[in-house]
Amino acid sequence: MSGDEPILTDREERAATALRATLHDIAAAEPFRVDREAFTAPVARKGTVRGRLPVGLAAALAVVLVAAMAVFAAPRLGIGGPAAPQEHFDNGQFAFDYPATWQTLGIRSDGGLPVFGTGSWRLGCQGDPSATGCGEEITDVSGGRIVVTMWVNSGAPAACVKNDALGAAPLGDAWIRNAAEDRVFYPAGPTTWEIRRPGYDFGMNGNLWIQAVTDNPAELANAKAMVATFHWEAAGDYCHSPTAAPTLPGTAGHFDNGQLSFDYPTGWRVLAGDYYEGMAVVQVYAVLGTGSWQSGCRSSANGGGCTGDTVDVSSGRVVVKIWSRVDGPVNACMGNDHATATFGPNAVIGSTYGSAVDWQIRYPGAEFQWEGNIDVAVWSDGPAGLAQAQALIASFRWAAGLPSAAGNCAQIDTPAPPTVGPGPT
Amino acid sequence: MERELVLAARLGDEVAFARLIESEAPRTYRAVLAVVRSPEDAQEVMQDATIRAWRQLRSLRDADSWPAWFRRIAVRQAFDRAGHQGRIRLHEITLDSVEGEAGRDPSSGWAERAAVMSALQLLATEDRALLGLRFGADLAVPDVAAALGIPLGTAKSRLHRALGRLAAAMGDDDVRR
Repeated sequence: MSGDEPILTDREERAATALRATLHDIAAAEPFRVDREAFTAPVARKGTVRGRLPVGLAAALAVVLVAAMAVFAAPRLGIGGPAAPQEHFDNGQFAFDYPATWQTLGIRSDGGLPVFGTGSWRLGCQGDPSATGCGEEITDVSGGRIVVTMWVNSGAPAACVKNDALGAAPLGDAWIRNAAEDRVFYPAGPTTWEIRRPGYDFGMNGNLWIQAVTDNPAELANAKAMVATFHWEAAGDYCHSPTAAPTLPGTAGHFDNGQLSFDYPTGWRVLAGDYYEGMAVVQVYAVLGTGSWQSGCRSSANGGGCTGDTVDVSSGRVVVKIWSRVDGPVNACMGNDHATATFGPNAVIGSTYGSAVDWQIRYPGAEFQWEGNIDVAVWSDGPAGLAQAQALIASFRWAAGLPSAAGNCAQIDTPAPPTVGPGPT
Repeated sequence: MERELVLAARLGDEVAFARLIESEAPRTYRAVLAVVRSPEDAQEVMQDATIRAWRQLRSLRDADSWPAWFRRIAVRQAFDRAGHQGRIRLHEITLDSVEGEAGRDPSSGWAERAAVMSALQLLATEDRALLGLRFGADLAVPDVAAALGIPLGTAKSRLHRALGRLAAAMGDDDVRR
């Protein structure tokens, strides 16, 4: 018996035995049977046919899907385009245009990406966050309105592991797959596209998904036009292990990519610039220091995958890696607002990152452990390097005007317990 | 295999999702049954949980955590149902209704089963969930604690307390038999 299993008294054992027999017997007598119709669309869906139709017919449908995508893509490739005024979105990773009539409706907690549209949207976070995370979205697109959400795929097959591309069509700079149409849970019927990163295949971690919810054909056309303008900011294999010394945004000794900034000693070498580590969908903004460092990620050409970085900080040297998780924990809305240290104005929580000490800085309005926060991993074998790294953290600033993540989970945050005064003596 | 099914289901494969549910549902159903105390309600809870899980599947980041994730959804749904249920369903699990069904031999232990289900009503919902997960879903106590989001020590102490109350409700007066 495991030490975690409590030893029951005879009386407790009798009750347990009776209960177990009762539950098993009743469940056997009146079993639960899965009603597939409950989660099957009333109309044929692309996701459905893949698993149910003969291979030949499925392949034929895939061809039709590709053709349909090409038809829908054609107007975006220079033949025509939306005449309505456009806004431009650019977060340094990717960019696209969207109608000026759309507003920013909110920010998703899983990746901090904005939600656009004319409808209403909020993240539900209903009930116990430990039960379902913050996946419940409350969307209203009545009256012909639209809500467009986007998120980075995670939990899918690891990036940098080659999969065969599914039905897809080139569209501008991106390869786009119309992933699914789900008319069960969204009466208005969302349309979803998967846009793969350069060097990635469909279904991989790190790809971007865009979903439009509307029953208005004109707004759906706007969403398609938006998707068609999508392009990644950087090309190439994101899983490529960075080797050449890159140039960081900003000036010598001062990193600034328009979203986050920090100072670092001018004597430090830039060991790596902006890149992604595919396995865990980690975005690395910079690797700096006086020691030596080699990424643990291999290129997809060499099998892909990421292991721990190889770092040498002997003789008092230091290496600092500034990174952020794109696929944060499921329970992103749990109360995690308890800093363990403060450097300058920045409250942080400390943990370990391999053999490094890691401090996490919150994104504006976010709590610790949320996606989009910035982590600073520090390898150092002496107090001098550690102090330099802590000075870097103290200098860290978010750019003004970033959309706040606050409110995403406000309804489940529990208030701080009241202060209890001294009791009667 | 289960991991592959989760990954496929995340991409919209309903067949894969149905297989996942069929694999996990029996044990989860038994835990839910302890919470809501009515097969009819338990089946509705499971159906709701299935739909919710399908809808939220893309929020599941770790495919390996699928069983625990689905279990939490179902138990949460059962909590909600139990909160609205009150006492109106109690008649459905009485001695008469269970024993009187055709084809069931009253001597085969159904009277005791009915007594157990009636006794469950005297326990708090949280305790019923704990007992359901431990003795219905047959989870280890650490897994029960994780499913309910409570510390292991708390789960152990609640387990003793809940079993004691269940035994008392069943008329077990602590006399060694």
